[in-house]
Amino acid sequence: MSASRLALDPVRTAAEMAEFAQRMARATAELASLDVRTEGCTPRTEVMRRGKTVLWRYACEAPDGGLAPLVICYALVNRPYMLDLQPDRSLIRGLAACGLDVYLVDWGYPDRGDSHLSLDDYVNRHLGACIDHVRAAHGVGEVNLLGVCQGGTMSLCHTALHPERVRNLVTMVTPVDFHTDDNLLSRWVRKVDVDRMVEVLGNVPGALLNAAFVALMPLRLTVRKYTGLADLAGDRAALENFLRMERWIHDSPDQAGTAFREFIRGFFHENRLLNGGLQIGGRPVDPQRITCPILNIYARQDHLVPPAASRALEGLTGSRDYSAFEFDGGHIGIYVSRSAQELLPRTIAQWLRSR
Amino acid sequence: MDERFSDPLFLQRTLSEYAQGFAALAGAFRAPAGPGAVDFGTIQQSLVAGYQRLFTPGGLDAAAPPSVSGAAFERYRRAAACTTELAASIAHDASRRLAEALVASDPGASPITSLRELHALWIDCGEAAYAEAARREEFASAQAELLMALVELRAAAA
Repeated sequence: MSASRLALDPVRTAAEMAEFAQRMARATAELASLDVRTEGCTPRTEVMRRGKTVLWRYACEAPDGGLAPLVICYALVNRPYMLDLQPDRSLIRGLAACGLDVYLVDWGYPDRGDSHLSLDDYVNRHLGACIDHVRAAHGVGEVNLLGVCQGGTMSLCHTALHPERVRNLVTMVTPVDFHTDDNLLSRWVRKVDVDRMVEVLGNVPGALLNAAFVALMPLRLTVRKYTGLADLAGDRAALENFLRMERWIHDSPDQAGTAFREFIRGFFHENRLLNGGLQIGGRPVDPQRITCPILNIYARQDHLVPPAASRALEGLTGSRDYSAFEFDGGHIGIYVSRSAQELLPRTIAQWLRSR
Repeated sequence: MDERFSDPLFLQRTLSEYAQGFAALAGAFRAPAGPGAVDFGTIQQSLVAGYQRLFTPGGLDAAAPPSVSGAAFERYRRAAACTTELAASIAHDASRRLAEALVASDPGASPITSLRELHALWIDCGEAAYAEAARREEFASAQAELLMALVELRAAAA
């Protein structure tokens, strides 16, 4: 027996429990009546397709002719509409409002027929074709490239392999050093026999990756989130936000087996972007060949890509113009938080304009 | 899209499950041993089961095939037992942390007067226990072994 901080009054506790149950039931019922099945909110046009990869161009009312078009390379994991979730939570809309002509590389949903797709296919052929399309459409030799998360790693590789195509490179919550001490995901992945996994499964189920991401902080990402829903009862806008996020979280494409194996081995297991020796399509990926200006954006509370994993980019490349921007938030907040909407498009646009 | 999410009842079931967890927490603290006193040992035991479920690696069953017998099944059985044991250990640590956090060692510590506060503390203690364990080699090894055992089950069933 011990003295306790607990001072729960039985009557008040019963009332609180009843209210919680009531609000939870109401929120659940309200959720069931909502439909948020969209893939983004900003008007866009498909301008190119290669396999399942689609290049989208977003509407921009007053493009700044002095700026090269911006190509966004999203991760293979999860869907890119996180960048355009709803009108008041859209990095893409914010960038377009700043006068940027925005393109987005959407990798689609690989199926069994795509299990052979390699990093060479994604980094050189598909991303390369998207960039070449934009270069030709605008009559420019170089584009601005914004890589997000794993897409940032792929963008670094592309720029190292094709430096002549990229005028400025922006990396966002991008892992560079995969072996930082605080990288929990990497600790786990390094134990996995990815060769055998891909040999048996072919493509790697998206649900499996989702489970791994949730397992990084299982209570906050499940219990806290779901019980917190009771507070949203009666707030339609908040419930729609919740549902959009849930839908995005569960909308995780399977991963093409070959590219997945190459990514896990080359980056998670062997940390080759940092340690050297990375090859894609038989060609060495040398970060020193990246000489364009770089803006590296990372999130201070990122549980998935720890800041140290991103900060490792400084000094790794041949660029003499390196800037870093630390966002006060997490891996998801950097896309959808209110502060991100106010800060990031402006920061990126100003940085590009000053180059 | 995760097929489960396409089921209109999936989200409702998920929410119901977590709401029940909130209620279970309330239930664990419903009957203190006496006025002003709490039997933390009893409470700890009642919470372990709830915690254990949360710490057992989820989603891996997404790759699980129908049951098969033989070496692959035996490997899976051992791997599952190992992660269950780890989850139980984390759950015990989480419950111990919660019990400690509820002891008024600091005279200035604020009292917990609502289920909401108690629930938040429960989550913080659970996440702290999990974070510490998840960084250990044995945790990474157990998770990887469970995953690879499921992969081998799939291979055996093919």
